[in-house]
Amino acid sequence: MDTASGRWFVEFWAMQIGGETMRAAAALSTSAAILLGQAVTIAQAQAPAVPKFKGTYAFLSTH
Amino acid sequence: MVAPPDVLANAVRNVDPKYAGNMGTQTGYITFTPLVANPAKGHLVLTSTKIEGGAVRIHGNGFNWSQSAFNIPSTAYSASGTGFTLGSENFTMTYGNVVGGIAHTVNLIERDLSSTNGDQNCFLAITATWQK
Repeated sequence: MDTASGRWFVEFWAMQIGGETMRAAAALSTSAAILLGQAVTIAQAQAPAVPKFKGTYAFLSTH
Repeated sequence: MVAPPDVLANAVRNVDPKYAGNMGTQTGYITFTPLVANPAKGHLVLTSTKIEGGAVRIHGNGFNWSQSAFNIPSTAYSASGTGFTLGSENFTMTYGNVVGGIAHTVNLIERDLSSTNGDQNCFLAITATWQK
């Protein structure tokens, strides 16, 4: 496997599966590239489509 | 001689408010405890102080204004990308200031149809900011 063919396979597979798998696939692709001596850049994660809330929040409500 | 117009013919003589309306405000704290398996869901606890009263008061109708504690014990919630459900109430939601996957700011609005105080024309709006 060379770098180019490995990346194309991983990206195509991830686009069909979704977000979590895409991140796993990206990590896999990164590992493969490192093994092959390639420099890689990981894109910054975007805000989640479904937010999580944790801890204490101060609130103001009006009704 | 022309008779003077009856200026009271169409005047309002009586007001019978059927729904006084309810308006008020609250401030306090909400603590979210998400589920480990599905962190978009979990339980929350709310403690607050509420000030509320009748929006329309005519001749003593409606209900008095008051200040009181308002607390919600542990209650299930769930979030989607644009909505937030607390118990049986469904809010429209926006959020922001996401840090480490946790949204530190959330805005919620809904039409409030749940009360029996004659406030079927009420809305509820909540803005919450992460404290700790």
